[in-house]
Amino acid sequence: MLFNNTIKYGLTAVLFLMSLNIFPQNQAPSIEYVPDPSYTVDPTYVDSLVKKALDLKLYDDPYWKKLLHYKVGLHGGRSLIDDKKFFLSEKGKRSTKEELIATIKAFFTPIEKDKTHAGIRFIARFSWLSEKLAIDKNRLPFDFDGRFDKYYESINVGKAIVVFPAGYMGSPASMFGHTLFIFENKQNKRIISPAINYAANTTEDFGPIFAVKGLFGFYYGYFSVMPYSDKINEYNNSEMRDMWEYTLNLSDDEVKRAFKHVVEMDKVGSRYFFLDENCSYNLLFLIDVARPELDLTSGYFFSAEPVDTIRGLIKADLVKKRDYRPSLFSQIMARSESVSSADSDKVINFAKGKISIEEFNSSISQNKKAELYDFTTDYLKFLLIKDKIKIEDYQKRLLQILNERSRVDNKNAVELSVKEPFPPESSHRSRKLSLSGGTYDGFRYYQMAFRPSCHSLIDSDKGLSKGSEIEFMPFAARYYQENKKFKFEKLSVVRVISLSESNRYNVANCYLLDTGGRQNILPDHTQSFGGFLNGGTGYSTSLFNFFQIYGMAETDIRFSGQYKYNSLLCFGGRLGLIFDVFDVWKSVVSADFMRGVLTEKTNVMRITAEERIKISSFFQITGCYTNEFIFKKRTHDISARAEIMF
Amino acid sequence: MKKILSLVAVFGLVFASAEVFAAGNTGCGLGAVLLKGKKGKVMELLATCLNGTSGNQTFAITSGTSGYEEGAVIGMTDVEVFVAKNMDSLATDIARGNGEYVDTLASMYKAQDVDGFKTKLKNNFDKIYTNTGVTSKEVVANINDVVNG
Repeated sequence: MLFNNTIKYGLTAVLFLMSLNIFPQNQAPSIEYVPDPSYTVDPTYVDSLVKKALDLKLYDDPYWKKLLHYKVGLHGGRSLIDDKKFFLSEKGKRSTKEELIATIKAFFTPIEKDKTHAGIRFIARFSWLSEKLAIDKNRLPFDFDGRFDKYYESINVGKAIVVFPAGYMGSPASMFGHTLFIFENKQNKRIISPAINYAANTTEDFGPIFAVKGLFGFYYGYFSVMPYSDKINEYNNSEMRDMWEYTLNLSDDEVKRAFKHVVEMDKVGSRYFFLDENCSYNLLFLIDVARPELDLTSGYFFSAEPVDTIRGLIKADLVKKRDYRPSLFSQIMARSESVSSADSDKVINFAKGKISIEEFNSSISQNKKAELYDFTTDYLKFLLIKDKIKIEDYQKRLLQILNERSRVDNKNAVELSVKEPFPPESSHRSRKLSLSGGTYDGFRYYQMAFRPSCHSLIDSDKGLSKGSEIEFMPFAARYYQENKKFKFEKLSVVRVISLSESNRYNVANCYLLDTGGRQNILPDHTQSFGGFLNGGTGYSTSLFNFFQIYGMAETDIRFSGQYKYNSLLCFGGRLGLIFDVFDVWKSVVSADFMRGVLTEKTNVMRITAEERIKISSFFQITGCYTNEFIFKKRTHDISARAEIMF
Repeated sequence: MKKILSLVAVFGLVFASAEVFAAGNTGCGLGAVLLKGKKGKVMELLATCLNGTSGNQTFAITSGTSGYEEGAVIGMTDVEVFVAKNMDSLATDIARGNGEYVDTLASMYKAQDVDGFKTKLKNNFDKIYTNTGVTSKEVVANINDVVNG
């Protein structure tokens, strides 16, 4: 009997211990969330707290406003959050006072089964108010702080990190960047730490509609969380973007406050505005809530670009450390540097299935094996992502290579060392104002041009992707001295140029797209403002690393009532070259040769040369010359510009 | 069939989101995760501006009425999930015998002798990644065999 009991209890104990050990991290916090029938609200106590809060004017406290994302703007004071779930008072979006009263009252309502209590949901508000008002824990329906603490301990949060994925090849739009917020796991398991992402919840709309909806707040943005490795996979691997990790010097208590606010923001939607109320801006609230004296979410006018938010963090002295995480492509390029041309041919041939693993093995020397296997592994991933090989072939070749690699020791392996490029915060400011003077066809003019956002080829590439241009709504207006007339020279809706360089490892497409309105030259050689659409595609490569050339097939459509069938339809090509000397002098030259067909039949030729001298990261001087031949007339446009970036 | 059912069941327990079910069916083999993050050309251009997601790729920050009870954030430290989400990077690190992914795996297994752990996995690479169609579920089982064997 005794023996039986020993076995029984022993087994129970073992099972109990096993249950603890198998999923130690999945154990729910022990504070059980169950209604307490004996709990009753003490209205006089709640009223006294409300009175105290009003006396202290907590509704005007900057911290309370932060917690509510309350900002004073053109439409008066209101919370930027557009979700009723976030407010306990009907008037909460506009009235911080009503929301304060409703919040205090809500904390004292009894716990209901199947309903999330305000004290659970709004844990950051709770912690702050309970400190400010010295709330008596014994009068609460539940130990909200205690429960959160248990949960928080189980996640093992250490440092907070802000991550910036840089732009990626072939997508100038990605230069705009993005930011993520990481709650790093204390045991240094950075890649499985929770990554907080703020993103628009988009539907699969047709492209232009998608863009318009994003710009003007038709989509709702939400916070979400995923393991950081998911984002590394997405950005570093699939999209091949370099990533930058900025470790913040927030204390443990501050990081915890940020986490509490993440809980409050869960499943709460706000209208997403691409330019300002975007991914990066919303993450700043977490940091503002973390450290009460900060006010990072103020001071953005018109746009809050991700890189500006990084600059803001640096300026506020919040960044303790910066780490560079090279993209898959940067890794391949770095590995390729120590590989001989003959060996890299073998790697390419094996990866593309032109030689077998046996042929590959027998053709490379023993002490190069580890290095070349590592190079091949990365290159196979690259080819798969670029759709250059089928997944079945990828799986087969990857396993062949890795099997070989696992049998080679690391004695001759080459440690991956990727030269750190200039970090994103070193890039120029994205707004540009250009003032210029020049002559067009012998007439003197002054021009003012403004670009609200991003980057053009002539600007410095420092901290940005090379060979990329994207400008949103750039415009230029001219004043001609002779006839004292203002002319709207050009307004692009969006202008994109992507000049990805092809090399032996990668053949990439280039493209350009520019559309909007501009002064079109008419058959009678006068000008008229009308629509245009310019697009092209081709290839580019670089020589000696600072000299880039490209060629494109191009089409240019212009609209005007003066053209036959209201349009001028041109086809042809463009050749271009860019060179950059020590980030000081840059030259961007292009020549278009086109033929007007179907409607107006004319040869069109245009040569443009821009030369830029960088004086500082916010000031540059540019000279520009355009020679255009159309409808059998040649015009020269020569100008000098002073450009300010801010 | 049983295998698939149990796989789905395991994933179903850990997550609630539809995306992860998709990963449970297709995202488990080599290469699948690398292709998952890709977007079409036009979407690539625009989506990066908006940084949009279809909203189903995520874990919940909080879950259940009591808030953070079985918060899926905690599910991130699950070996099965980790292997499924990082098949290619982990395979690479195991074959090389070092790297961030195999280090993370070692810490998940609470390995005392991390170098020994990594060497053991490296030496048994072919027993872990047994064939081209190997699934993450099988990889986890094989790793368990190697670690315990």
